[in-house]
Amino acid sequence: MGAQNEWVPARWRAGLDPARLRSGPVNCLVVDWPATGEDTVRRLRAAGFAVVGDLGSAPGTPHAAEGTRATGLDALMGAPGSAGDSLVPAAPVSSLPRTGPWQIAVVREGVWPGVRAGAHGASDAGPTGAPWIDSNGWAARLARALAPGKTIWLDFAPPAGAAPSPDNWLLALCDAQAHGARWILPAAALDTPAWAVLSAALAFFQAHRGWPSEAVSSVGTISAFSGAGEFLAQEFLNLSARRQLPVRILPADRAISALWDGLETLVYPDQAPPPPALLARMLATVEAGALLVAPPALAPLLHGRDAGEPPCPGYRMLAIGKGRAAVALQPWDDPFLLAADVQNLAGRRNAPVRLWNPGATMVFPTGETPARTRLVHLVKYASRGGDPLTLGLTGRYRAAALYTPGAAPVRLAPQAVRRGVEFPLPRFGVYGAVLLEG
Amino acid sequence: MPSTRREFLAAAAFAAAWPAKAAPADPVALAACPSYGAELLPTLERMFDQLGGLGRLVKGKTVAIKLNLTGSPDYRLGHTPAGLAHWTHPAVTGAVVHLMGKAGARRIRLVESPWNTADPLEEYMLDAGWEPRDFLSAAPAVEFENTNWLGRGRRYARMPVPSPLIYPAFDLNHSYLDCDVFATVAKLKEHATAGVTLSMKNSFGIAPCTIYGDGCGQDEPSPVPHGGRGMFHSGNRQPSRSAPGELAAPGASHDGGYRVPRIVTDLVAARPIHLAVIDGIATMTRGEGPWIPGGRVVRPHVLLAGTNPVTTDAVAMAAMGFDPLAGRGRPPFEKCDSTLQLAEDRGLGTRDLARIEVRGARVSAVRFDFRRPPARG
Repeated sequence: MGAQNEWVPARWRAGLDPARLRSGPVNCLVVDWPATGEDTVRRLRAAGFAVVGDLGSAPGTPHAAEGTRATGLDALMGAPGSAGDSLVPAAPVSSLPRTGPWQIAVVREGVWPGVRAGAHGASDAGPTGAPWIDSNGWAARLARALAPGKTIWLDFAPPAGAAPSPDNWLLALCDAQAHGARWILPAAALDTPAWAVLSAALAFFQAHRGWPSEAVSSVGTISAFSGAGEFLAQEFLNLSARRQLPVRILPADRAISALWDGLETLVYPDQAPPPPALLARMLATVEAGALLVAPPALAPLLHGRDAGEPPCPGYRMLAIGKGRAAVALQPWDDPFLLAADVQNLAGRRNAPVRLWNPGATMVFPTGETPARTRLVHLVKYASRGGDPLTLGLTGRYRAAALYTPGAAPVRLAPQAVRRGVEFPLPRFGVYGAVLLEG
Repeated sequence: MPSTRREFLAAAAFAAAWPAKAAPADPVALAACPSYGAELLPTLERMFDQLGGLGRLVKGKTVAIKLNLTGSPDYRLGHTPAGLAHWTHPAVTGAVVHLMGKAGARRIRLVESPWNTADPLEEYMLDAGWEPRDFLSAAPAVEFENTNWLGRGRRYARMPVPSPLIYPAFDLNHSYLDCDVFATVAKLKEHATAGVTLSMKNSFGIAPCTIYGDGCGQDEPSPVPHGGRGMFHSGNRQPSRSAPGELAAPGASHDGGYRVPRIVTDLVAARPIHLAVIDGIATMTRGEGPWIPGGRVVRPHVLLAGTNPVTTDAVAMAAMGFDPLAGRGRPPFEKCDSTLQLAEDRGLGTRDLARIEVRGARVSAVRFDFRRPPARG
């Protein structure tokens, strides 16, 4: 059945023909458990699929976990709690356990990706006036940061009564994959006209699973991502992506030992001060030249001389060693404004990527190291069309190629500009990846 | 002799309220310029010399330069960078800054009201792919100010409008009062609502959206700007009550083609323009930005400069293939009144080419017909 991190999951529903799936990349079926009978499990396994029993929202029990092998299931997933280490944890991202022997963690309660429609079918606007985009990207990346080395699955389905178009289905898949996660394909996807599209896209992502997935950015956020500051910290991730501000995620309980190479701006959104050792590392990084964006609660812990006017209102600037701290004068309550402030405080000069005419397209730069972009994911959350995209990158690149599911790569020629290079992009569908050379 | 800027503006307002029989007919410098490369700086320098030299205007003075950075910085006409289509090109801005510094300007402040944001103007430029350090190094004492909100000022500056048509006064960012010389560096474009957008229409953007924007505060200015200046187009609401409202019954006219040209001339009368530069080396047709359907990038290869915005715009219109004496119903004013005519009527300057001395190139030598269909093939 292969290693768990190679599983490509879909949901099983009675009546589906497993032979229909066998030719595609799906190699793991998630079944409702214990509602699905053992005979079915045996039949699916005999057809070559790994089978995962889903306990739903019920917490796993030691008994249920113990029964996994006896019933032929390859794994059991459910709410983390009392089932012991053999359970694949499945929960909202903030409730996922952060350690354990499991290879897969499942993020529940995802959104259906796309541009949110208003009452009359028009797009809802976000705080920018730009369309409000629903994406699971931030949750996928946060789960990967909270549980490093684990394979992240997203478990969500279309809204009740919706009839997604093939592009809608494809978007849901690409939103997950672009952010390093796999989507448990709903059973409904398997018997729609979209299946051929999804199958081809799954094969595309499987073929390129060696692509780099580290976020490239000089901005990192350190947070517990739970407790009182959970909403602000999580929405900061969500809304900074809207502003084309990639952010590296440093969970507070891991940050002390994480790689901080290339970090020029640290954002600490939590009101509770960090543990002393973490604070010491943050201050050492600032003294070496970085910028710390801190809440008012950290002011008593930050000692420096006045550093003049802030680039945006609402902050007191302190010079600390070779670096600076921007201390908010009032507690943050709006994550979008926090993202805007961070962009202005950090400055856009060294932003790794820039996308022109983005509309509802989001851009996510990745690399083998967090300092150099090698691959840029582009996901379009609105229907096809719109103005042509131009991708800008800080730094020099010799060439690039645009990869899209179901099509041959297209070579792109760089155009040197004042602060790097630009690649005018040909039109493409829901998803494109720009692989850079040089 | 006025002793303060405020007194000077008041005196200017008084003078403008009683226009002379013939509107001023200041000369306009016109030049062909093939690109934004090495020929740009000497061309502009020669043009300013043709106007009598920048020194007499800016030496020892604080200069505010209004740019045209309309729309969002991430919006392009196709793949074309904004400076080659709908924005003032950074090379023109840099050259003007450099020449003003060379002419002895004491301080140069680049001003613009970026779309929907209180972000620093430098960040807005970076967002568009520009490098603001280029301007800082082009002359001594260069500053930036986002004038779409209060910015670095402590309060908004009340700028009265002599002989107002719609607004009796505007509350503006302090930069528009806190300068000895006000220059505008505009783009040579048509405009969907106003027919053309040249040096005068560039002043549309001096009004802060914290007071005149779609999401401005009811009683007081909003802390940051939200949306565009819908009230200028449609009269759908009044500015924040802290600022003077419209003269006529609120919402008396909802026609943008009536309102916008009048409000532009109100703004130009409130904040007189001392130097107008129009970048027509590369631009776009059909309208003011990539959101206007059917626009295409064109290269008229032309630059204009003048000390009177009305005469400068008149020559610019002629260079675009339009008749500056045209009124409502004639191109490019098919659906609007002529800002130039309104400005002329209130004595700000003449649009009559027979009265305007064009220095440098002849209009016929640089004319680029904006309405000519693109060549096939």
